[in-house]
Amino acid sequence: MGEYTTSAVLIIPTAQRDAANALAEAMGWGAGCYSVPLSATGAEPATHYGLHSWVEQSFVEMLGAAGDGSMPPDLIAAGYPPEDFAAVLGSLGSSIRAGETDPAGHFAEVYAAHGLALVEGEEEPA
Amino acid sequence: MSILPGVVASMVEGAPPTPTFAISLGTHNRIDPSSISPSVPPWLTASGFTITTNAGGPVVYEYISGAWHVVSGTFPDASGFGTWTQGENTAAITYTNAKTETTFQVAANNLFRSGAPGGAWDFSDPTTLFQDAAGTVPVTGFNQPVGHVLDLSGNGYHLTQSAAASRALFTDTLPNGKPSILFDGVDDLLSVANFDLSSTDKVTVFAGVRKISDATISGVLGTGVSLGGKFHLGAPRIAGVGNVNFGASGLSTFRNARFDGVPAPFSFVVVGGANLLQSQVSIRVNQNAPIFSTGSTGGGTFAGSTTFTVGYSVWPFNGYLTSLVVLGREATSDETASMTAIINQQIGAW
Repeated sequence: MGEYTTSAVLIIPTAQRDAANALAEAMGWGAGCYSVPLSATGAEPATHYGLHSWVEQSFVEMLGAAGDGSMPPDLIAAGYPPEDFAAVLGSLGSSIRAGETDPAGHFAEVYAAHGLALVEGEEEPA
Repeated sequence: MSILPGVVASMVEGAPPTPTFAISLGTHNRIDPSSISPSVPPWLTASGFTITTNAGGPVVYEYISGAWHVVSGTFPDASGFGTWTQGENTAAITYTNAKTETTFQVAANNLFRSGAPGGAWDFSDPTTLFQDAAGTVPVTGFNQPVGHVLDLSGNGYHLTQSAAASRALFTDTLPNGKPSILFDGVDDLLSVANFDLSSTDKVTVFAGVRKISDATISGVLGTGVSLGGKFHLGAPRIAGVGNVNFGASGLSTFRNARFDGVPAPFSFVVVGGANLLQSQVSIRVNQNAPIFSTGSTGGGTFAGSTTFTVGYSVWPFNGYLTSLVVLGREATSDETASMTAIINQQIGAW
């Protein structure tokens, strides 16, 4: 594995969340990657879910190729449905930033640009 | 040249049939391999050896990646890592000019060798870190994700993260350049299920922390903020306010001890303490006087079979951690002094 030095923010509509999580899992990212609830007002229910991750250059290249309609060979070999891949990519909001030193700020910029706000947690610190 | 008597060692586990040798260890210390003469024999890089004393032991050591590690054994005295008396045994080989050094791992081993519940994790030591949740792909350099952290307490509470997007990053970007892991303030966390402190009503938490932002509430670690034997470290506890908070609950009330006036960015060694029976919750930040909360917690013990989270799940932590101990008992003043000094060497708070 290489260096994870590029900041990536991905946002998906709730309707596509299961497919997006399945896609991430098929890529070897594990289950439940889209974990941060978002909505226009910050109130429940979440209309979108987001993630922040440090990624390798290979992921940046894969995302770029996917934007051109190319499905990664690993996903094809794994039998991931091409129609699901197209649906997820078609509704995915993404921001890739090299040299980012403020990942939380990066994440906030991106969801704000999509007209979204964090759905605050229910558990208040006592 | 100092002759270091008192310990006779015998080789085990495939080590060559070399003569016995002697080393001397002060309380809470280990041998610094770089300080000894002759140099560490190469066969020790992959094998263990046993030290036997008249008073106790044996203690099995292993030399891994430039450090001595205790594999197993009981030390001959109750006060520390082992102090041997001159004249107990003879030795055929002597390491000379040895100086001693205490590591986080050795200190953590001392804290838990009496069987206390809890866990200890050294995020600055890549030999204890893995990139994947299963613990099969080791961290080999900076800017790699951390999906598995070994528990050094012996209690088996290894921290994991199965989602790649939620893994903290092993980094050297602390101001002092020392290694640590960085939580992104969005979705990074590590956790372990079935974390059981139900046998105790006391807990002591040590951590080396650097918070990056006070913009939002930030949960550094804990089992939650609800009732029933939970505890929590927040930095900050209140959005937009530069503070650090340690809280704990008994059966009826969650009590907080809060240290104010420390805006981000801020590096600190924190000692959080809770005694549910005596209804005392405390926080000590760096070398400042501790802050106490003494209202009733309702008593009881800490929770069993709960999930312990580092980075927290509701209020994500934005900052660095070098190391962490959750000790299911009250630490002694000597233990506290030793561990805080060790953690400060990592985080560089003062």
